[in-house]
Amino acid sequence: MTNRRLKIVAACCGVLAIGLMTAPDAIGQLAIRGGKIITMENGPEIANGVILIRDGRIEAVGEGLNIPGEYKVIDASDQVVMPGFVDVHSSGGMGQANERNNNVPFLTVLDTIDPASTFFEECRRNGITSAAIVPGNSTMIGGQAAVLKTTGTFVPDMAQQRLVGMKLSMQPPSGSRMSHVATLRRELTKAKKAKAGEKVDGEEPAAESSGPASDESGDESSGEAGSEPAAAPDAAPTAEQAQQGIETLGKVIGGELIAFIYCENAMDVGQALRLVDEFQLRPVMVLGRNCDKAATMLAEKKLPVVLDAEMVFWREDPRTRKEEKIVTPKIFGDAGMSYMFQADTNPSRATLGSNYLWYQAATAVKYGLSRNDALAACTSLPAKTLGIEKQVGSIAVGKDADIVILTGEPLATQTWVEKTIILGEVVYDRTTDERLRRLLITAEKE
Amino acid sequence: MTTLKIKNDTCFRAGLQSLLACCFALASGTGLMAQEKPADSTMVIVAETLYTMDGPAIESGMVVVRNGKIVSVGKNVKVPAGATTRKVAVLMPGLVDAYTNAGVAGGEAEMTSEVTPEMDVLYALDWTSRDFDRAAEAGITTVHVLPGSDNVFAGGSCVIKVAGEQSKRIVSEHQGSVLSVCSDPVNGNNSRARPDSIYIRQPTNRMGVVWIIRSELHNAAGEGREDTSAKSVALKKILGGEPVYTISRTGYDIETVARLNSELGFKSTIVSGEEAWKSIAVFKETKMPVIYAGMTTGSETGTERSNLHWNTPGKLQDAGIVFCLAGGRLLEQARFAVRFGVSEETALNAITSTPAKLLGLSNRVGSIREGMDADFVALDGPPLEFTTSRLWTMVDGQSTEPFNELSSVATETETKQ
Repeated sequence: MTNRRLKIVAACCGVLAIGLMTAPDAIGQLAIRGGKIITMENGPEIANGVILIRDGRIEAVGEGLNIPGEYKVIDASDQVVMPGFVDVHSSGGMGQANERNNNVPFLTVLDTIDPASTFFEECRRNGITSAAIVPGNSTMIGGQAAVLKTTGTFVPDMAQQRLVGMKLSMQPPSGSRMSHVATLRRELTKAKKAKAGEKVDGEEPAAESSGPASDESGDESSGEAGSEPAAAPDAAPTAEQAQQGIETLGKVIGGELIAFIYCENAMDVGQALRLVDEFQLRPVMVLGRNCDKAATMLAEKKLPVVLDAEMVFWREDPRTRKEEKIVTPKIFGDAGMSYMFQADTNPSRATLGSNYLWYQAATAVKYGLSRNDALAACTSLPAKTLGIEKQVGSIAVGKDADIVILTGEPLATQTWVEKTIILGEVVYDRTTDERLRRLLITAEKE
Repeated sequence: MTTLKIKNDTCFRAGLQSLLACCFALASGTGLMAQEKPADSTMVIVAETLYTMDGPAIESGMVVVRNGKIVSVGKNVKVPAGATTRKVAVLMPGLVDAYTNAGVAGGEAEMTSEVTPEMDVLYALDWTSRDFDRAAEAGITTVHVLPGSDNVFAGGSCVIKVAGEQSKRIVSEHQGSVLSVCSDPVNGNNSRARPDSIYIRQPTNRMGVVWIIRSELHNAAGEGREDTSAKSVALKKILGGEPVYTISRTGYDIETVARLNSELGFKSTIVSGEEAWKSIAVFKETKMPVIYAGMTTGSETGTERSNLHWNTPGKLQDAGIVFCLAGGRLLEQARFAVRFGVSEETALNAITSTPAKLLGLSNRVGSIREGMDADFVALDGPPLEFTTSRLWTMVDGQSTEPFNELSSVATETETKQ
């Protein structure tokens, strides 16, 4: 008990200290004078507009607004002002994105988020103000996703929506797809029955939940499904946890929570869509790069789609061995559907730019997407998809004051994020970004 | 292979080419080559903006192409009768990638020896490799192919075009000699790890790399004229001042190269140079140019745990060091180089005229000038914007794919706005 109390006191002190440090910006009123304001609302862009911010919310936006004397003014009159970007799906900022246990609906990303990780710093540097942090792609029922503001010292301060959805994966970690899909369907059925108040038949929940993991071999390193008993799962659930997991999964059924469904390839999309129909899921289709052949199928359903971070690649025809260049934004665009992007959170040296959400948007524009649609795919569309459009995704009265100030036109080569503002607080300023300065060393600093 | 050997004989080459041209004309005349354009047809490319990389950009510029060569360039050139016309938004020279292993098939290094200066990578090329299609697709028309970096004296490099008839693709069959002053030749040479190895390879550390270079060149210098073995001849060429491309990444290796150069009297161009930013003083003093292949936006650690800096090109530029960007995706590299601090002019030069100059080929490729090879890349917008896409690539007057007409471009740009 004393230990716990101590922790609470420490936390309080921390919050106080942060509060004091950032007091001038956090509290009170802020005005942004923008050379151009792209609101991402239906209206046109506002030239020489003003945004008034009060208590972390947008109080007013428009041309020729009077700025009261008590408002601190940010002069961006030669710059472009936009709503903060919303990352619709990322597994960044987490210690480890996937579990060895294949069925962990009771786990939440909130327990593994590291607020100090460079991921969140990179988010702020690139204008991302909200991010859906979702468990990785290779766990069957991967756990609970949350939407976080990209600034804060403690996870509870960052959480914008503590529980936004559940990650499901159509990709078997090893073994057959047949049994993977069967197990997934069985777990969803179980949750559906539990939700309807029916008795879940058979075994004790704990044994049931850890059972599939050993059947499917959750142990990725062994790679030999079923040949020997899998190592004890990292997160073997207690009965209570399993129950909690079933309940949370129950909220995915019927669409109260989002189902983030990872599909490795086009055949997975077909399977996923059947589950969506069977269990009335509200899906966000998280696509692997080889899902392009399912484009028309997805277009018919008009479901939200997140493209793989690798949007341009070469694929060999298995028969002719001829290579074809695959450009997923073009394929999905031609199929007449809207899509969103994700940034590569583990960029190898081969990737040049794909670690930035804005670069992904620019790439889509290169292959035919309109600039406005590309910007919407980073702001209003993900906000709507995540069900947080009342708070973020555009610059409108009453919404969170999550704003990005750019040095020039969005998506242009030489445009940088000048300032990022979250809830009316400047959380990133390029002029004081020491790390960026070090990466861009100049001759005089030699 | 005989055709390769007689390549140096320019008279013969000219004869061969005219012969081929005749064959071509004949063939097309008889309709056998219905798909191909006759080689001597004239084409005019009209560009809203023409980046010649030989003076300022020309608005509404025109380029006349005949027989794979540029006949004339300018704002108002005389258009020959019967010439086909292509319109594009932007035309620039085909890009020159000064460091690639593209097309090297069946292993990039000869593993039975660490000293193989007499070997040429040209003979390991798969001319049909898809690496070349990919390069063309990225707007690259000329590549400098280096052998792999596993040998200290890695062998001879070559410069080739990415498309066209095989015999005509060779620009330089032996461009220069490649040295590896890095830890690549060391990798896997610890005999304790491979007691059953049939090879006895040196070196096992970086000291060994330097020792091999020094001892081999010293021996070659001392051997006099009588040793006419291929290896000795190749080593003497290095001492005699042929271009040497030295693969080095870390700052300390770059400094070692500078020392070896001055001690043994050969002239290196640094290839890769990931930590070139650490050795600005060395570059300033030695005037070694850099074929830089370390552009990154993600990892801050490169090969050999080198420390990558985003703005290394900017730092080289500011110090007045000649450098080019290499290693594929050249347009994208140039765009990020500009974003990180290089001037637009330097960035465009760094993927066209500068690599051509570094390879001693500025009379053939890297800019749009009368008499040069008709190598182009056509774009639908400003070359240094991420949102600009490529329309087509042309090598020696032949497009590597169907032309994408300006009309379709216009509708594309409309939808973009």
